[in-house]
Amino acid sequence: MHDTTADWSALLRAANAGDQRAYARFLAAVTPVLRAVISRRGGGEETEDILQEVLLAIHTRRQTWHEDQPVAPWAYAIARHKVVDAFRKRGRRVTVPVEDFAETLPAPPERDPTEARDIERMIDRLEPRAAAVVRSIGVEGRSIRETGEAMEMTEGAVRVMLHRGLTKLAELRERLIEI
Amino acid sequence: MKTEDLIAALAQDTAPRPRPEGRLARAIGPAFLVAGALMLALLGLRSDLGEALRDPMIWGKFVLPALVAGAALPLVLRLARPAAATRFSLLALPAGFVLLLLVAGYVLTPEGGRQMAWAGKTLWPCLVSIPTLSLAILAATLWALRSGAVLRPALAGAMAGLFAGGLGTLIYATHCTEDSPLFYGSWYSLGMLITALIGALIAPRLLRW
Repeated sequence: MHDTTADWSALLRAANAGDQRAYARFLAAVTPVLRAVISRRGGGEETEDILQEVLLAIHTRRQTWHEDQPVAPWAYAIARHKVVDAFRKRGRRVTVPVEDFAETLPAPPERDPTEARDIERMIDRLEPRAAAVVRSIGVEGRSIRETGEAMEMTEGAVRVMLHRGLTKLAELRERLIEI
Repeated sequence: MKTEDLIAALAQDTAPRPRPEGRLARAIGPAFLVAGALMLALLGLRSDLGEALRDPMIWGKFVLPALVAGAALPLVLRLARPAAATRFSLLALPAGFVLLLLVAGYVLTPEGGRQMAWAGKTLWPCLVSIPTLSLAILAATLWALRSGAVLRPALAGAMAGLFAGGLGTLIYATHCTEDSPLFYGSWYSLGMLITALIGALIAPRLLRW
């Protein structure tokens, strides 16, 4: 696993230089590790919800990683903070020892077809245009250009809306909003 | 929403996010000016400032807060980054300087005058003014920290308070006429520590994420 985390630095470095594919690969690479840790701490049905919360946090705080720093401890520190927080919001107290990350085998998504639901409710609370953009790109899988064409917006405007929408989503979760 | 879809959406959002360093760089100038204007409006410069600056014994009043702010700044920025190494040994520098000031003050002040030099005439104005002048700078620093990912908010708040307190004290020192190292070594330090305490108390609410 330590071999793979060495790749994370390269991926995130490329991501910060504007490489979207590298960024998607970075997120896809940390996801199974995070999922396993959350599930091991008793995430149960809410594992994907909590996982998405952690991914949003990593996304909106990714500028706090500096290239002279190893990625794994950074990502784990964010994940621990958010996992503990997510359980607390759900009325449970957990601790996440650092060893969890090293010892847990990466977990594939559960075959359970239920998708994360929390985030859908959060998207409903965004301003309508930001919600539409996040849905178009996230749920329907359209590109920025396609979304722009469908919504009669410039690509730049779509980017701004997406940026705002994701930031707001992360904030909504941070404010302990329970719906 | 499926997690893989979320990842795809996140990857499309390439707009850079603000960094604590960038925010602090933008906010610190205006905050320093506000604090300076507050000092001029409420307290005023000491009338013999030019003369006083020529006396090396008085430089300590400016060196002490500058050292505190200089040592606290890298700590503040480091605490905004998860898993970044923080070297608290930096704080030994200003702490050592305080000790030096107190010893020098003790030695250089004639025995009968030590008590008076230490207590001074403006103890309370000093202890109230330093945190007050530091508030705008503390606010700017905490605002910068909000764009970070602070895992130890009380500690980060305390370091933000030391940084702000250092700069606030630097401003206050242009007003204050207490020139004994016994006075400013003690009470400037306490004023900065009070500011650190304020930072530690308010930061946990402001820096949650």
